[in-house]
Amino acid sequence: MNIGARLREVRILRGISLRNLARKVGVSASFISQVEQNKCQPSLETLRKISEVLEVNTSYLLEPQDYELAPSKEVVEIRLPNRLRYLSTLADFLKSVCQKNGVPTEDIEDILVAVDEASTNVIKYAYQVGPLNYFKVRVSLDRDLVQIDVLDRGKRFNPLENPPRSKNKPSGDEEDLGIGIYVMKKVMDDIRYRYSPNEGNHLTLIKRIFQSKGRGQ
Amino acid sequence: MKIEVIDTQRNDIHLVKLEGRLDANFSSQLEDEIDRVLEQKTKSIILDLSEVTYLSSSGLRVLLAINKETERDGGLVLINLPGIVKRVIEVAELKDYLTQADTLEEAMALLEAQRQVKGTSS
Repeated sequence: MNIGARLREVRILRGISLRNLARKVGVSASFISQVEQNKCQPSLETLRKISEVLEVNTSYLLEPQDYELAPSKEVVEIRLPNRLRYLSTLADFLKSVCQKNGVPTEDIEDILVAVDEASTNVIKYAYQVGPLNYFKVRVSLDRDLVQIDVLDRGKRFNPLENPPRSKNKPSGDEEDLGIGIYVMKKVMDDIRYRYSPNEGNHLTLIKRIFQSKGRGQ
Repeated sequence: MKIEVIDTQRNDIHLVKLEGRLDANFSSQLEDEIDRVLEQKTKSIILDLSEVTYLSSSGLRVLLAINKETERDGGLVLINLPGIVKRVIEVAELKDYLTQADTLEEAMALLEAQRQVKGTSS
């Protein structure tokens, strides 16, 4: 039985340092290190504490072969045609996934707004509506954040490069693109974009949740 | 999205009630419908948004376009805005450009006041 290797694997997966784990368990970092190298065996009590901190079943550390590790991040994905009528389907999907995971209503609204704008851009600008094609929306849920990845194989389109909104009185002649991107940036905590010829456009939207903060102003 | 055009007692003001998601998929439909209404004698539009479940930038663009089109001889007033709609307008910083009222009566009064101001200045 290889407790050490399994412990190390789970600890790294959870992103917890040796010192941090040791402090939470109430042992020294060198002890945890030795356990990970199978140089010593933890007591049952210590093992129980380690499991608690790592949020893993004790039996997983003891019998790794036939036990499924609950991942710290659950990922849910939807694949949709490049048609605007599926925007409402996407909204229903996102709402359902977020609600199942206890994301606060206000944060869900912000997520719906940002992903709707991002997906509208995919359909209108990356695919330019055009022949039937597909884009993917992947939702990763972590304890304190929701990450949404929007992936498409359309024309290169980086919303972050779009020029800022004009300062003139908005007339409705102005493309809604500027307003949409402005809103998207404002309701999200972080937005990243990358493009590769093989994988197309990849927009990542990050929303931090469960934080006591005022709504963005 | 459902669009219902309701006559008011004044033939130059139309009440338009919207229902559903005002997103990129329905914005052009709304624009066409409003254009039809404005081809008549209508000068002002009151939009009842009580049943609108979502507003995106595409929807906002249409609201701004109606605003511009009615600006000269009448106006646009939004009534019964749900929280999400208010939030999007606020985040987009367009609150100062879109007139809002709580009730139909208040909206009618606002349009009447605007009409008088415009009447005296022309």
